[in-house]
Amino acid sequence: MPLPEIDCVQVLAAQSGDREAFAGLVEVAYPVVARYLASRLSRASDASDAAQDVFVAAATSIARLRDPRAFWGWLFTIARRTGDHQRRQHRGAHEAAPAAYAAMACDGAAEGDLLRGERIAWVRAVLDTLPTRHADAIRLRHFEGLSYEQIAAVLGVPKKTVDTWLRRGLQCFRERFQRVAEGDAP
Amino acid sequence: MNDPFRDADRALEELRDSLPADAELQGRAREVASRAAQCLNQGPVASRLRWTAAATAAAVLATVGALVLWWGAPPPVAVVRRDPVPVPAPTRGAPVLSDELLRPAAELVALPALAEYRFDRSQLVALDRLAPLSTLAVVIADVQGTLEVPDGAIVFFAGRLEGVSLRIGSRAAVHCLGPVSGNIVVGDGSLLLLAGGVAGGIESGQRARLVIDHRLGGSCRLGAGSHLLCRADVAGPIDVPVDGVVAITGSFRSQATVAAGGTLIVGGEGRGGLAMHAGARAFVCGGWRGGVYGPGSSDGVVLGEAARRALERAAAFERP
Repeated sequence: MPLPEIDCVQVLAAQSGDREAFAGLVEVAYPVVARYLASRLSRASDASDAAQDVFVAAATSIARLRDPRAFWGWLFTIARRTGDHQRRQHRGAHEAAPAAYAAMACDGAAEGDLLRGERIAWVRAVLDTLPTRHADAIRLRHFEGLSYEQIAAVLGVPKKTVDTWLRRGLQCFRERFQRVAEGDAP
Repeated sequence: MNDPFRDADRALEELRDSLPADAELQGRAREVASRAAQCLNQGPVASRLRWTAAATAAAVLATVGALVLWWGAPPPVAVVRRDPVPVPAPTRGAPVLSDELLRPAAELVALPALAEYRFDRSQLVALDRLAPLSTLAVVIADVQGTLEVPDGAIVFFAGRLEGVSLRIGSRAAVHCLGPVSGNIVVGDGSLLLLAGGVAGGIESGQRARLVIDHRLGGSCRLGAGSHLLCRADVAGPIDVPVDGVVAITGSFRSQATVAAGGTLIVGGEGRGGLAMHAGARAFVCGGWRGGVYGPGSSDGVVLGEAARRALERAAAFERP
């Protein structure tokens, strides 16, 4: 899934106070940001709230964006910080996610759903143990399907660095996930 | 048996598949777009310019105040005309601070989008409703060509003035942050602050106040009662006018003529010829290596350490 194209003129218009232009940017960018936050936050409601917070923050600070071409990188930085903040706010809830799945199983949910839910919770937990830049590179590559060039643009680093982060991040993720599967805490 | 917990890549795919799809998010996107757009600060550029203009006006007024304290008698720049200022016709398309270019703030705010209004070179932006002055202009772009500042105007140039021929009317105040590479003509009673220095020469009318924070590359010819402070070297010749003061904290390397009642102060060394009229005074702290002549040369010239002590006693000289 390619990163949606952003029209620099539209960004400039939003910077000058054009609400319609800003709303257009939000409509284009919201799905990407919402999915990124959903991959970080276990509760859908928290991810949805955080995504809205991202665009409110963007509305109040878009005038300070110097280069309209850096829109995605700038927005992603806000999303990352908002996600961090949301995790700190609801740390207990996010850590208790596997337990919630267990409770769901006791209510009679299918065993397959329980296992799948647990695996997803562990993936989030293991990703959170990686360096943030490695985890973000994995999320953008595997969840958003961005190319290396697009990830480089979003994270503001050279393409070779993205390659390195992805390689190391995936290697680390596999090792840690293996340990989790063998019974260790992530 | 294949243990799903060991399959990290498959687990990643499962998390990806659990994420909401685009179609699910579209409705929510429109809702968020509508809400977030309400939080958009409309007119941030105008707001920024308003702050810039207010800060500029404050800086100019503070500088005027400081100069008044430093020089003594207040220059007549405080007299500001409120009636429309006649603007000379532009010469060959040169940018002139005309009414057409001095856009009022309201018009700027009313612009639908920044995309339709780009701050090109030599484009002037004026916010003239911020102070009870006839003209207050903030020029945020670099400027080339000929510029004419009308009488009584306060203009702040934030960019570079390259190859500019700057003509300043009377009782105007002009503050240039960037360097000026052309010549400047200053009208009667005007104030000119050059933070970036000037490569060309300066001429002024009567009772002008000029402060140059960098090197003055050209000549300096001032009208009667005018004061000049240059916080660096001066390369060109200087005419110190009747009842005028020229203070140079650096060195002086050309001819100087001091008229009756005029005072030349040089913090560094002087070279070239120094012509002193009767009643003229010169204090040259670094000594004068050229010739000193004229009726005022016998008792009007103080050189070296004696000049420094005299100036310190008078407390009229800022140390270099």
